[in-house]
Amino acid sequence: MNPIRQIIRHSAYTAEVVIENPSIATSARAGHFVMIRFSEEYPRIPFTIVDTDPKAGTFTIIIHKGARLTKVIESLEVGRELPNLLGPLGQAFPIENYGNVLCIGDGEGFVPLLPVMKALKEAGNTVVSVLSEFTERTSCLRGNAERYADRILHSASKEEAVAITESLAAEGNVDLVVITGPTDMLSLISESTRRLGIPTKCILNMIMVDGVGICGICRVLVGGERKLTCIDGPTFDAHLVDFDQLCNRQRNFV
Amino acid sequence: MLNFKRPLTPEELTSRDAEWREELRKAIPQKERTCVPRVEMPEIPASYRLHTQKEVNQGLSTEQAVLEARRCLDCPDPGCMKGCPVSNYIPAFIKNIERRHFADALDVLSLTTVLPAVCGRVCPQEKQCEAGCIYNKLKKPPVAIGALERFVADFNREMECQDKHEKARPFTMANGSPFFAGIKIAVVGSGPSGLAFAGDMAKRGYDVTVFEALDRLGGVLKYGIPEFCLPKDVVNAEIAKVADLGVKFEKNTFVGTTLTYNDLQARGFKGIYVATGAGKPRFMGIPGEYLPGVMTANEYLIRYNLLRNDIYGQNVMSLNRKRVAVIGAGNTAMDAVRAALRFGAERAMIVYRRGEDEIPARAEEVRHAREEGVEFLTLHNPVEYLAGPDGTLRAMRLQKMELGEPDASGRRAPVEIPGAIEEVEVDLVIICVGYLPNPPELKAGLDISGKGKIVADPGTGETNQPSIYAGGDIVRGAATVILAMGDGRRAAQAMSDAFATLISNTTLG
Repeated sequence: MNPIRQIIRHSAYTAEVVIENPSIATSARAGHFVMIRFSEEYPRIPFTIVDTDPKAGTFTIIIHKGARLTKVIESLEVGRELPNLLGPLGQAFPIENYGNVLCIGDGEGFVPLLPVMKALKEAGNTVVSVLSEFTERTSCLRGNAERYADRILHSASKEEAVAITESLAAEGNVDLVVITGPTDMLSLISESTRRLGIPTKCILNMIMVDGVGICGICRVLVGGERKLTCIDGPTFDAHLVDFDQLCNRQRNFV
Repeated sequence: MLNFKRPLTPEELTSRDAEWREELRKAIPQKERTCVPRVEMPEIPASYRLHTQKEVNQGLSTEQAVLEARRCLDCPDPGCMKGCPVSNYIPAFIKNIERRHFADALDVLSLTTVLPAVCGRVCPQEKQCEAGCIYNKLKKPPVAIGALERFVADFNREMECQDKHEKARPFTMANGSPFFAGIKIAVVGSGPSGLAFAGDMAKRGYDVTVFEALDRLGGVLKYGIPEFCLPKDVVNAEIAKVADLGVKFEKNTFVGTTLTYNDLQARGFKGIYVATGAGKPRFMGIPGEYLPGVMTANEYLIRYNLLRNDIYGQNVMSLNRKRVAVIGAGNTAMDAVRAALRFGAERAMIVYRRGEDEIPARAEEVRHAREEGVEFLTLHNPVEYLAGPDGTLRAMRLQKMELGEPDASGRRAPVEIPGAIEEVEVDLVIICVGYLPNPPELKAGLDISGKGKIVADPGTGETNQPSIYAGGDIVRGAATVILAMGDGRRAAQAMSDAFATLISNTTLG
């Protein structure tokens, strides 16, 4: 069940893993994720579905060693089955032709943007992406990002990402901003685009236990209402998310 | 030498008029029976409990069980059965214990329940079967029906493990039919309601598949109830029996999300039973619920029960020298607070806004919790969780309450004592103030009530969609294992009757 079909090791830190599951391959949309439990020693961990190939019946995830998954990455081999895999979960990203879309992500946190950029591009949008932290850890993201983005900009810090957003907005050609990454960065950029009046969506990266809405660990206040990232997300209107509470909550987990 | 000669029909095992039953009744006078004191469940001592995950209740020995069975007066109109949501043949299984036909006793139970070892452990017997026992009228403690049910299931499971005797036979249902064999039935959720439904349908001859979203079968029996109350092996053994009836299981399938209603139809399922449960945690909506250090009982118990209890290598579950407060006083709250003690909590508190007498948890669980050192802050209601300088939970503010007039639930309503607010330092708060129905992801035009429950006929489980039935907590809101099982059995009866009508109409027409 769910055999690994291909492993692309981009670096010692990152592996792109292609898994066979025809049902997920055909039904997953940008924004969906899967929960995987690699073995009894690991918790259930959510992974963005980065890409799908309905013809081959496969989908792709990216695993970073950073998340203390060192042993998992080392133990992966083609042909190994992943029996405890559930997906696609969550709400799909609302894909339409927004016009000019700015996608901002940070380091390995950029992963959830990849399928969204692809789908937005296919829907006729002009996609500009801002990537920060280029290291060996994130080299694989660059190639993927280049495939879907019309233009790639770099930022060395979250402050610079804000500056880039503001300068592009000043030129008047940003219709939608999509952000992922650390919560403090999300908060900063969201504040900036709120001032600028640009619609902004964030894709939250939360710890989950079950992924089917019964534990509540991924709860987040959105527009004053309690939402679960696993069921109602992971994409939310960034201007409605209470980032202060989220930052505070996540400090235990980071 | 035990006598394992098996009678041929369920009637011989259950009928009060059977010859063996009459002989048993005559063998010992009622007066003598009522002089036997109620058996006490052997337990591991509280001092050892905190250092082990082992089950607290050790189960009755054979001789204890036989002696306790002797207490049962085999009433002509047994009140115990009326109190049982699945109508177990209670005097019949007890009398089979008395004559040491333990396998027959299990056969009797298997007529009505697929989870005797589970129900014997977690049912609130004091409010159900044992509440209806004739002994209450004699001002004596009722027959320990729960302990006996558990004994039957455990004894036979152990015997089977040792291959000491043949497997208990599942009797086919009276209204089973070869016509049902090709009919595919889907069950959504592998908790007690789904298992009961699946077992009954399989006994009638249907082709049943149970879908489960998590990577373990059993639903709340696995993720909710801890090992020290209900060992996982016991649950697994009962699920294995359901599988022996021919029921198939598909894990890691979230019906409605990863497998849609249309997919089920395309795969040829003709009937669907939705038993997805109520696991969506409620919050009180007070300030501080988003602080680090505040979690739900489900999060805590899932980590405790199903996962290695660490997040990315960081063990958040070690509560060494920590002060833990569980908000609420239901069974889940008792499970959580007792689990916290086993993780080394220095202080473990139950915070409950009503009084002692209103505590909804099983009496036995409350007693165990007390013995293990849980503090009960009754008539206290949290109004705010406070953060320390580091932004994590430091304390809770509790409003003291007093009891007023009875409210809609019939219990005396807690009323705030103006100005009586107490601050209690705490490192972890576990919220356990009730559950909402899981989001009904099965988008099939089902009627959903305002509170998110599926609207279904309480007697049959029928919904507004002809092929879909529903039961258990998704219909009731959070209730008990046994009520969920009762729903499953009634829905199986109703759905099977509907198919029988359909078949006879088609054949005749």
